[in-house]
Amino acid sequence: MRDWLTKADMLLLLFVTGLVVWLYVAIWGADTAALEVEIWSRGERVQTLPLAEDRLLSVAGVLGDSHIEIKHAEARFVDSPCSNKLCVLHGALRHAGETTACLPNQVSLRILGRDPRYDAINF
Amino acid sequence: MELSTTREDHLIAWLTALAVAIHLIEAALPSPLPGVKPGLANVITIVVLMRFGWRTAAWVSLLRVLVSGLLLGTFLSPTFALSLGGALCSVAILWLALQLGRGGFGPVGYSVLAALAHMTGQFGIAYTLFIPHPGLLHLLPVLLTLALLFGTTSGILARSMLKGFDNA
Repeated sequence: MRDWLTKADMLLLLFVTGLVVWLYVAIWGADTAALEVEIWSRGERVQTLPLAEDRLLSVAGVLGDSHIEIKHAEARFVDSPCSNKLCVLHGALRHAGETTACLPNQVSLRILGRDPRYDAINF
Repeated sequence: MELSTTREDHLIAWLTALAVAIHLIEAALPSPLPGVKPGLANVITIVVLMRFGWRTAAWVSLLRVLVSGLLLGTFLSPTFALSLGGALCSVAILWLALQLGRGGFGPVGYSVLAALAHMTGQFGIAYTLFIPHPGLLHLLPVLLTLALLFGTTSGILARSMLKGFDNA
């Protein structure tokens, strides 16, 4: 063992392993708790609702009413007057920063957390 | 006009050729994740560092990136930028380790440092220049874990090589 690793090598390996473990905790354990859902329609924010209260609501869009469900701190499209139902198929949103939209009806959802996170940055 | 070459020049050329060969063979291997390669050419850098010092190792490492880039057709492409950034970072950390470690590190130590610095440098460039998305950060611990494993492996290989020289 001494032949393979010097004392400095061993210290380094210990330190680096610790650093990597810490990075896992720091980056993957970051607070992404979802608190609220923002509902947008035709380019305007219609309402912001807490995810803690379960409810069903309909939001008027360009084509008609989109039905949105908030349940177990998740938000999802239940139904929308579009043809392909991509918004419904997207499923439930549960992490801060997640979004989904029904483009034909121009209704979208956005989950907010404690810190606003960017969904994209361009230069 | 004749260019006079020193013994060191020839040494650097030979060692670079060896590193380039390893780099090219490795480039032909498919990789499950972009940017993740065992980095076996790193073995040469470490062996050169232990045998001939930092100066030669830095030359070999940077020339390897340049020549491999030209041969693979990635010269001045994003791949090349990542490769060069990684190599610069690892050469820099090796210099630092030599200054601060006072010869305390062995091949495994240097190799791990170089691999981690290479990965961090690449990641930094990928993040700032190409994909500045916070989601990319989630990959960092995974990539560094792989760098740690590959760095250790390369270090063990470098040690075996150095041992082979001693016995020869």
